[in-house]
Amino acid sequence: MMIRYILQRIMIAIPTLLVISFVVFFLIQLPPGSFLDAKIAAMELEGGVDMAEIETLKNTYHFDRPMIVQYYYWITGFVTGDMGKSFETDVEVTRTLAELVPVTAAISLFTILFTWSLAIPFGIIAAVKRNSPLDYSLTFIGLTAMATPAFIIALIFQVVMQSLWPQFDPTGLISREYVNVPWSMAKFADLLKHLWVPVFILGVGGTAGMIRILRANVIDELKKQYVLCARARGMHPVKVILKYPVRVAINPLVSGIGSILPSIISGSMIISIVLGLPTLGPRVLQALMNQDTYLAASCVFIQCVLAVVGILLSDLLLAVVDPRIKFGGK
Amino acid sequence: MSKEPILKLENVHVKYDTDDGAVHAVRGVTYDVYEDETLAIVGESGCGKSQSSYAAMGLIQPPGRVSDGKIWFRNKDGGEAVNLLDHHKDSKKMRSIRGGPLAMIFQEPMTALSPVHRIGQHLDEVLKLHTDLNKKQRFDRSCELLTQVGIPDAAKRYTQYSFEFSGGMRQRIMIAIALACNPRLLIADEPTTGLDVTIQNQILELMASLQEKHHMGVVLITHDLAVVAENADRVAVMYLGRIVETTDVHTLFEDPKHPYTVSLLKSVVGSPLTGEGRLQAIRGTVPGPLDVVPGCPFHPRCDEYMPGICDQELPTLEAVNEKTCAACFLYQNRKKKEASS
Repeated sequence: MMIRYILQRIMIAIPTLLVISFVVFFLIQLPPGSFLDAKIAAMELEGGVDMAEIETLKNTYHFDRPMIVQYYYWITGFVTGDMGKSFETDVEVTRTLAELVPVTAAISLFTILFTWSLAIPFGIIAAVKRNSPLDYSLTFIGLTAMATPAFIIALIFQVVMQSLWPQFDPTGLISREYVNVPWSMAKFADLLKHLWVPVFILGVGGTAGMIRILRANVIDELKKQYVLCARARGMHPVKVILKYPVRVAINPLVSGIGSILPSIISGSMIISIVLGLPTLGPRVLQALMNQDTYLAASCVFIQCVLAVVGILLSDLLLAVVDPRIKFGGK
Repeated sequence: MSKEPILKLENVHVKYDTDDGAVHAVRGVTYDVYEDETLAIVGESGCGKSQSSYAAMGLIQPPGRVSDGKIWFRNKDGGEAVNLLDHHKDSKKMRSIRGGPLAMIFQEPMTALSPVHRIGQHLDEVLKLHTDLNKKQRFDRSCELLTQVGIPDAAKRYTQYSFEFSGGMRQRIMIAIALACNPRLLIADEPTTGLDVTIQNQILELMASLQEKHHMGVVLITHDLAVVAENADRVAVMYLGRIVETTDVHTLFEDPKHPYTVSLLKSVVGSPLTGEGRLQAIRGTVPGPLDVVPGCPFHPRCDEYMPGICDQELPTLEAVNEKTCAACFLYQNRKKKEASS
């Protein structure tokens, strides 16, 4: 039954992705002009238009053909693993991805770990000790952190760090001596040394939000009769809370895994720009602004695929952790 | 019936500290329960009937607390009685009693089981907490218990979830969990509220047969006088956190003493006290939890209200005859004489 359900969901996902891929491509092509027009304009400014180069570009990327044909060339290439080249840098899209995705994913995964490892215990404590001074201070810190945009936190952080610890460079991820050096243990260690800054800045808002959600969920569950019944069986109150209400309250977090997946490779655009992080976010922004169709469409589409896969994954996970969903019970 | 009570509450008070002041939910309740006996505690919602038993179980949660009194529990017949209030409510001692020799079932069986754990996990948990049985023995005992409470196909049902059971079945499971460690005393807090009438009967009959088999004492908390008539041996009537009358079940229906008991009985369909006429509602409403009523708390609603007496002093629970105790000045001659002289 479970396998049939999974197959069914995959069958639905395929046409969904096709429609999404078209919409993505269409939207990126939508602004007037194309990369080619911009290129010709730039060449004119520099003095001479190299018609041969323009012709080559035209032939390689089918700029003179209708949009639907261009879409066809892009999507067939994408499916076979050939995502084309960036118009701007003439570098393979796959190479750009291979370069930027690992760092982006590392930041995102550490951010998720940071968020969960703080939010889960604090959410539970805030719920159990609700309306206590501890709960109120967590609420105060949490609401402040949620209300402050992350880029403001990033800027404040930079200013504060500059005055407290001038030697420390809070921007970037890799020290100067390691740029353009192949990956090694030393370089990885250097990455870890820098990683906590973006992880902290990116994670603060999410952590605060998740504490609120978890607190509300646990409080809802604490009122339920089955918690009292478990206590009446003579179970230790702390064990009761961890075994029953927390177990039920954690379900919404599991369903959140789906929405996390696409953001793992996108990273946060604004924070990456403020902190000068070499992640995919700023690169995609640049590609979108330059109408660098292949790079932009491929990156955005990969995120869409991850979103669809993520939602499928979280639905399945939720069915595993919550029997009420698997059996369609009440 | 043994001579010594299993559970004895002495002048138990429960208070809830709120921002508007302390709510005095239980104001000096005294009762005892013996082996093989069912004591029914009757009263309207909010009269403290559940709270007094929660106090015995150590289940009063902050901001509530047991502010005074003694709760004696005798684990073995002829053994020493322990004052449960000498131990912290979550101490090892209290946890070993709660769910073991002193078990409780609750109203609303629909939400009494965790929606994400199997039925068997609940049974296994209580056996693990209170016995030394190994995994296999616990499984066998669980199946035996499920069969005992009338759930067929126990081994299969063991692995199912609560939402796969009806309300009546869930209450049977709760009873199985409560009985898992052969309790000496079972507190049943409105065990049939929310179940339909035929199921109510089945559950009460099941409880009665299990009581007979295991010689348990039962505290049956209810507002349903029909349930009292069918199941109780003795009855304590509560009003606003106090016991106003205690008597045996026959006397309660034939010769009620306290005016509150009388009005309760008059408001029940088919009661001899109602006669042919209309059902009678009790005048007025229950005072709010923070209102202070001087004298007898029932006097504003009482038909027998004696000005100058009932609104002056609080009547204590005293014997009216050999069967009944009532907290009412109507039966306390000394006070009456004082007033007339």
